[in-house]
Amino acid sequence: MKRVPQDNNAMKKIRTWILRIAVFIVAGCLWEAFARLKNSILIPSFLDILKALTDLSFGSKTLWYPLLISNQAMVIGFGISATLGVALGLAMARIEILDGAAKPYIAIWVSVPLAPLIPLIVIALGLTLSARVFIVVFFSLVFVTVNVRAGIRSIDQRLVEMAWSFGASETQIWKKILLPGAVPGIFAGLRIGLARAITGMIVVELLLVAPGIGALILEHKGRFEPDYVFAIIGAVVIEAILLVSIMQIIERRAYAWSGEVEWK
Amino acid sequence: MEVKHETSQSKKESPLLLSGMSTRVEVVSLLAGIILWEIAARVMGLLWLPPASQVAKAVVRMIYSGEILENLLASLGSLALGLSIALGVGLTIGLLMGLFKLVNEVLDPYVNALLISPSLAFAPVFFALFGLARNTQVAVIVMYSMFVIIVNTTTGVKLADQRLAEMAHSFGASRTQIITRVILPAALPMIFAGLRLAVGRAVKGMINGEMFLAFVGIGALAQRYGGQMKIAEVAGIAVIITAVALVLNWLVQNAEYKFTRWAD
Repeated sequence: MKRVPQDNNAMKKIRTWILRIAVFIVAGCLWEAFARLKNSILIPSFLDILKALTDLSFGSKTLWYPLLISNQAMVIGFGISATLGVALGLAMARIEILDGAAKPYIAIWVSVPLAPLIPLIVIALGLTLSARVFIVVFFSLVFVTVNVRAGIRSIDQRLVEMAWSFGASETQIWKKILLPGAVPGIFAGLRIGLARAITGMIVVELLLVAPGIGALILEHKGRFEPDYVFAIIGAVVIEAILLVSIMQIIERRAYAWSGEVEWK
Repeated sequence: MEVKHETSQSKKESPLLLSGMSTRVEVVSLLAGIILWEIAARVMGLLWLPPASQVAKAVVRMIYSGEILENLLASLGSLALGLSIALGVGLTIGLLMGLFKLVNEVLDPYVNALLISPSLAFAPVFFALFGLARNTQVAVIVMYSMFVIIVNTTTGVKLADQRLAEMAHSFGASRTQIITRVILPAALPMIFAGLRLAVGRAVKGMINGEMFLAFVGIGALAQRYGGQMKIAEVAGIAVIITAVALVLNWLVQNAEYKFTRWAD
């Protein structure tokens, strides 16, 4: 990037932010106008949604417990996906026969639509926490694995061969070459896996009778309170964006760190 | 900003197109898996694990009875409409973001946020707007597929060689000519990569949207069989949808080959 004088740069940043906020406000106003013109009980106005969101989170505080219940499955499931997914990805990158054996299943798993298979899991495990955790793992694990494997595979093979011929042990190869080189892939995998885990959580809540936010949505739908329904959706989307953004920041840090290691 | 997508890594190496020993391991592994599945299902006799042969039978039966064709046509109609909208709007916004730095800086956080937020969460919103009409399905499909097109188009346009554009300019090309003859062709590979991801996402959106709310369509059929606990049929539908997704992916790859052959 070119170097620009300091205050000029700051001005630009401020202008960008003002424009960004303006876009949001314009979108909100358009929604407000649209809702008022339509005047349908199904379409709440923008202000009503904001009011409902405030009430849900600070007034009646009914948002938090269902959100906690939903996230329970997501957090446990993502933890399992991250652990197993990284381990499997590392193993696949290093053990040729395992890679070949697992590859067709990974390819199928990535491309098969998972939502129709949910009834299968529910029959097997019932409408329990473990069923929800399983579905989250089902959604996210393979994406962690694929990225970790690709990350390690992208490391220059000659580095490994050279280390090998200079008498490095398998442990040393892992410590000095593979793991530092795998860091970007691992964190990309974790970020995408997290987004998938959240998707899994939402799919469970919307396609099943779920105890968390899905039930909260149904409850307000039953009471004809679309502003609350929209507010709950907004809260979930905000949560997803926050979590994945945090992962993005961590990923960028890790990427920088991995670059430093390589040059040492 | 560089964004890695869910399946961008896995798409690079087609799992069943590798040569030599790797393919043999894959085929053996896949066959062993199917045989193991068949035996395990017959021995255990679990409701949620129908034998592979029974799933195959269900596929044949559903195709013969015509219910697959009828519902698939309805679904594919929504898919075509949704993808066209996503492509039209996505290309336009992506082009604007790639060409104008200010537009990019202002819209980027929103596009990024909507790309990472779980798309199905918006299904209840579309339901409120459009009701139980096809438009709801179309909107869900657009939501699933548009943002990846925007991001890839933006990146493609930004990466287009600036020197080529400058040269065209100094040879007297107009701005429109530069965009249509220099920048867009250069961005085509990235745009097609985005389209391929978008098709995969659109199929998932089609299924999930229909499972959430619809009476016709392949996802509605899956939901119906799931409710009746006919698991062989559910698994069979998953197989059929995967086949459809693979065919669509193949079509996009062919189009990509036709349009970007000059690049090699």
